[in-house]
Amino acid sequence: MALYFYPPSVEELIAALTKLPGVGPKTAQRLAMHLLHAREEDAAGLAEAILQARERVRRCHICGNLTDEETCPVCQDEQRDTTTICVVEQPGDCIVVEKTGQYQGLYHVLHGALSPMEGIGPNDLNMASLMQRLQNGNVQEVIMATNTGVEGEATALYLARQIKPLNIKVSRLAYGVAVGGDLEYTDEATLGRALQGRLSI
Amino acid sequence: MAILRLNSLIMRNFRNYKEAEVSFNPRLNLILGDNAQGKTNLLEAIAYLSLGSSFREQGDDKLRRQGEDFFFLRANYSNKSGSHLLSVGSQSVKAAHNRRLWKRDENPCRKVSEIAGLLHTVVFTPEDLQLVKSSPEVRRKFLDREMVQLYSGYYLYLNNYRRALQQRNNLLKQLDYSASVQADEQLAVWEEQLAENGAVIIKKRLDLLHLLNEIGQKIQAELTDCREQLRLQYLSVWSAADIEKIEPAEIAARLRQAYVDGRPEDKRRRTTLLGPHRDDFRIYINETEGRYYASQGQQRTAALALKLSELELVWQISGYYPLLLLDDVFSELDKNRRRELLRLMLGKAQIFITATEVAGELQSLRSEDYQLFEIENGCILGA
Repeated sequence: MALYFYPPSVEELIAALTKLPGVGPKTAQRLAMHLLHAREEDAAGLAEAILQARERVRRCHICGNLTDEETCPVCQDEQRDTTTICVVEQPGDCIVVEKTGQYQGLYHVLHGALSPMEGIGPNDLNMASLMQRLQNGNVQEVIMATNTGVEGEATALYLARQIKPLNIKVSRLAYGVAVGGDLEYTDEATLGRALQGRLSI
Repeated sequence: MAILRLNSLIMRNFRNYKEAEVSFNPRLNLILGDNAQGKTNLLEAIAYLSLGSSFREQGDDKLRRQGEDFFFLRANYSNKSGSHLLSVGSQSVKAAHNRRLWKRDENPCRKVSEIAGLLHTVVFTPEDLQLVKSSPEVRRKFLDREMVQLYSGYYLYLNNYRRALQQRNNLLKQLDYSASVQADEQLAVWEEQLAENGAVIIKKRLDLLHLLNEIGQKIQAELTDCREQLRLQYLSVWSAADIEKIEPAEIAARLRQAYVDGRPEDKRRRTTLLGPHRDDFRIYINETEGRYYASQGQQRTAALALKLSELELVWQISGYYPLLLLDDVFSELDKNRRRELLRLMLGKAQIFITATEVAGELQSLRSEDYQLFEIENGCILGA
């Protein structure tokens, strides 16, 4: 007796979904079933949205952030403070910084961090264009907002050393206790760093 | 008195146990059985809950019962704040990828550092009896295993160090000799991470060794009727007598320099040759180096003294005795050392002993002082 599985077209959909990050076989199956049962226009809308995004999106030629136009809205915005650049690893990190409402400067997206293990060196990151941006003398401060893991730290340090000869101030995001967090539950390393970077009140 | 006691343990699909629940004696637990029945696996389960990994240094996929895709462990233990639960589930998600979920009193924990040392254990294996003459790696592991449980932050520094080391070694393997200036710039940023994290690791190890030295001297004197003196000395990148007085910032500076100086050789060998990942400590018995000049018996006594010192050290720092897991080691000790071990620790630390048969000294114990377990093919029979 032949065992019954999903029809080939459904199997193909499931296989495609499994390739997405964070999606295992079970989730892929559930998503596939959902898409098959969804209204025609919803499923088609999703497919269209993926195609549209793929077609339109590109990297801003100045900062490397994702944009639908030649230059991203932040780089176009004349209200922004052009003397400060905030360096982040991923486009999503810009959005997090934006949401604070505390930052008026420009961004630069590296699209990753140094990691010899994964074969990522300085030339594989969006670093050269940052150095170019710093040449015109307008920028006064570069804020390193890379992640706090070993790779993020190494990337920040590497850039800081490259930028140093240009006499531009390089700063690093402060480390500290989570706002509203309990001291008792803060790990030693974080608390140690927070002590080093304490502020007078 | 502040205490730490493992009351009971549940194992599911762990090694050769399908489903088992055991309640333990608060003082001494004798786990008996023939070879390859699962005695060590039971100790391994307890140690896994305390360290977040196996003392046999094996991955989660090796710990699962054959043919199963998950294992689960749960301990019910008591400490000074009452009785608690600690559990871990490990599920294989994709090939060579496991998802682990730790829970402390039914609250999920995100990091191993949150649970390491809650169920504090000191493991004593036949390998540890070789502590004096074995490779530096065994002695480093001895220090790090204890430290991870004593200081919750240590794990993070150790992990960061390992990661930066992996990255620097990978970089060394990829280096293209035509671009050596750029290579040095890239090496430097990993060295900075190594120095920052390595300095904390070295400082903590120095502090621990300093305490172990004090306690170890007393215990060694007791074990040998003052005939033998024990002294420990940490060996790092640089050999200096003043090493114990150095501040972390100074250690970091020296490490940084050591990595820079080591670059030519590191590039040739394509790996990082110096740093806390290669450090060691020397064990002197009566002021001669034990590794070369001590007899087998002296080496074993020193190893036992170090392990007992570790228990005392935890008592001094944390105010309780950790669980003592003796894996196949009790029968390896001679009569005097067995008696000393029981005299010093019975009633203080909760002891778990695996053996193939009941050794002499234990036959004279009162029956309420210990509990016998017979292990047969992954089943536990409370005798």
